Amino acid sequence: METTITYLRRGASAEALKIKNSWALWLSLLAPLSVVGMTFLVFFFRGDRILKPGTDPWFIWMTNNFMATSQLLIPLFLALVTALVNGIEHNSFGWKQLYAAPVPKWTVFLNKYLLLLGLTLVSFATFWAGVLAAGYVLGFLKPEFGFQHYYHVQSISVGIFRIFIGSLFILTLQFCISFRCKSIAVSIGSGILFVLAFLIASSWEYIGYYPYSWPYFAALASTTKQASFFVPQMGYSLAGSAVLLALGTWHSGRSIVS
Amino acid sequence: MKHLIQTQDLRYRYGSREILTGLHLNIPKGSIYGFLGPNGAGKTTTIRLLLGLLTPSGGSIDLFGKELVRNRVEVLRQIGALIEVPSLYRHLSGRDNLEVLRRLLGLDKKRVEAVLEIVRLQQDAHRPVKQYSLGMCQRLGIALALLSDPELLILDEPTNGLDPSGIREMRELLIDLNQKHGKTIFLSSHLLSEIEKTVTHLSILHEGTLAFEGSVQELRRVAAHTQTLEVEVDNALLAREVLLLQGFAVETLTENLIRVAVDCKPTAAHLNRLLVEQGLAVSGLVYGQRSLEEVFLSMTQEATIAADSTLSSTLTLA
Repeated sequence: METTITYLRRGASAEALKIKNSWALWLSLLAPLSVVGMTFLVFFFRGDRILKPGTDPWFIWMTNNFMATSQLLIPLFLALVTALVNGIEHNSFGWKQLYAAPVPKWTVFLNKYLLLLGLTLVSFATFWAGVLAAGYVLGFLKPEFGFQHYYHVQSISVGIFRIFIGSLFILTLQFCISFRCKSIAVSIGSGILFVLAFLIASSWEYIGYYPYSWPYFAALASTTKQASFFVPQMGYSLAGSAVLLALGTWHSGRSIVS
Repeated sequence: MKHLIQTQDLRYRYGSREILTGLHLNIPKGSIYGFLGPNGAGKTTTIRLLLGLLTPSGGSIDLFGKELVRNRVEVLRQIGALIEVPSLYRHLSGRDNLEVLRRLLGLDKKRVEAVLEIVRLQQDAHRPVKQYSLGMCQRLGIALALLSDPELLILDEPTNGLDPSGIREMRELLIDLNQKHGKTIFLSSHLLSEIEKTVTHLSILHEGTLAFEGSVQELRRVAAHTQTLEVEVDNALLAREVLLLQGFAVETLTENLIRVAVDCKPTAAHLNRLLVEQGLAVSGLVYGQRSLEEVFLSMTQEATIAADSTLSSTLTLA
């Protein structure tokens, strides 16, 4: 067990260095801030038309941010960041060197996955900080909206945690695609196609079983009063992600590099 | 332990195509072992098998006396490898490239500066790899292979794409690594001329099996025993008929010139006598000794006599 942890600790440290001077880290920071920034501008200039006087503005603020993030930003961000990180290895012909290193082969897959999980967490943490900070800045700049009169750190934290869990399967699937496919167009293109399919079929009665809808359903729970903490799509995402991760790790342990 | 790498009847099949058809390799400790073969002969496949990147269809691989399949991580700790083009992260500096591998393997930080010094890249270590020349990339690739201070280096075509000065630098570096740092080096190449001054032992791979294995001196002895004779006659067609009937291997070059494989000088005299007795006018006999490169080519090509034999000495004029 100790050896496994050592391999993963060393691997994560090596993987973290590889994204230095690359777009991956910047993307993780800028992508969530772009949604928060745009929503901020809309509220700043048109907030008086969106918000009803005397009501809690955080609810609408949170809904606007969560919907854009869960439907579009997260799936596209995950397609892009996984393609970028695995693209570094594809472009440098690095797989053969990694698989020829004196470490178990399965760590190659898991180390990279852990890095991407870390980048995703950074992105969600940035989103969390951005939503809260921008809300309070609006309260300061536009006191008439009333942001400063309410405290919603817990509900926003829970809401973002739900979206994170709902996104895990997309992360793992896009990771597997970009791990296998050298072409960055395939990795990103598949992500775009899956998102488009969700948008087109969003009114379909079984859309809740479609993985690219899971972050949306997870976000929806936060905008619905009396919703339970754990929605079914979060469970699907967790279970599907765990199965896919186990399969990927197993396959990586048997990999041949031709 | 006498041999660091030993393969027994190593086989590899890709689809229906047999890439390796029973390879027996023995790489002595302390040697610089050249693994020669034309493109597509199976050199890179062999190296990938030795590093556990591919699974053999048959046979066995022992590294450091241990079976690779059961001791992969343990034996790979003693091996540094450069497989075809070096795996370099072009957006990172040379030093950061080494740091990535150092972190992965949990090595001492001092190793980075030590290998930069060995490959003479300290001055450029801070620059992004995308600014490096091909020769610098190759040297950085070797630095990566040296990082864990391995006993055995496996280098796949390390001189590929280098200009003559880069090849000379690489040659000096490999000899230095072998003699001063005690590394055993297994390197592949498709050009004998690039490595014949570097290697102590070599093998020639042809169509998935070894056509030769031994020291460079042994290959030179093979070359010395393999001579050709260019014979100038008034009627090359008749001369060819006469010699073929006597069991010589003959190649017609022009209407007055033929090339014959001979093993010693008495044979040349016998051949001359035969032609004269048949009424042919022999106006020139010239020995051509085959270079190591030609011996290598003859072992890896279908033709028994290389086309560009170098003429070395005139024997007689009739």
